[in-house]
Amino acid sequence: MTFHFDFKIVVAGPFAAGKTTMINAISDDDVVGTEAPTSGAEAAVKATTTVGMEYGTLRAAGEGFSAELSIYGVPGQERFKFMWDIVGTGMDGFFLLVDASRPETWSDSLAVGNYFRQTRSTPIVVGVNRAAGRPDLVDEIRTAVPLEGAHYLGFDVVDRDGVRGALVELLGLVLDSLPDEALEHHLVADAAAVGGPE
Amino acid sequence: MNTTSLSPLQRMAIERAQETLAEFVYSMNDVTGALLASLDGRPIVSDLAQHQGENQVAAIVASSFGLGQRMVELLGPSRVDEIVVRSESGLVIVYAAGNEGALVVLTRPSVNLGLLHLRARDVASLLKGATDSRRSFAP
Repeated sequence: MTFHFDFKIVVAGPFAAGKTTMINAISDDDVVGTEAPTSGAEAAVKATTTVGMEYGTLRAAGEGFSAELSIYGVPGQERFKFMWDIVGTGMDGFFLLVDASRPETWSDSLAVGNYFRQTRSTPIVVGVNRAAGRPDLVDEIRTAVPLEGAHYLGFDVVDRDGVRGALVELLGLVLDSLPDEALEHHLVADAAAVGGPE
Repeated sequence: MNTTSLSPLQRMAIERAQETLAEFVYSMNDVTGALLASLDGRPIVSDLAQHQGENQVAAIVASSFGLGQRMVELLGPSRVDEIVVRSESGLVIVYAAGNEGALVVLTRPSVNLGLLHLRARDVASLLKGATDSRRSFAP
């Protein structure tokens, strides 16, 4: 007997952390995005930015279960905070993306993380971008962006396997955190809809 | 917006846009405010009631416009021209202003929508210059 679940995951983090790249690297289906050209100081950092949300999916299977993650990305800039509230509603797991190579964004990262953890208590993974195979950088982020109960791991948003590993880690935390009766609400009746192994 | 980093030409375009917008809001019955935003959510020129923060309004307009763009793509490849949101308190309408801006207009419920569309589309087209001139500067 295999159980099929679906969960909502929100990916947040400061401007230019790599959220859009990450979701595009991993999604099993075409990503629905809302990119707009940047202006002013932000145009010097990159050409486009997410102004609404992104939506992608990831299917994963383990022993006795399969899961489909609906992955939502939100804009990083604080002026889009209202989208954090809208998209954050009903999330089951929270993924904070931090760029190890840009220390000037770490305090913003912490502010984003704190905002989401204050509004709802779900499992948290802090993904440290540009820190694949660099535990020293991950430790540095653990100190600079301290979120109680969060798991920290280093990866690179352009590396599909790394992104997958990070999201599967979050899925594990979500599964562990939910009591059986809560898990039932995430059961998908039609197994074919998930496409997991039988 | 802060215009100190702009060239004289760009500043002139912004000032002209500000006048166009103010004249539009003043001359239209039941229009209570308007703002031109860049598509990444920054205010360019605005004529709003005191209590409305232009930064907040510009960000909401950009998100809505981005989602509206995704909505029209349900029909196939296309560009969003306008988004109309109606409520008991009035209407909020977002018009495309060139390729890099969006004009939002706030109205009372009693507004003449047909007339508004005619005027606002003209204004949006006049404001294009202000959004295009904005791309070229970075502090």
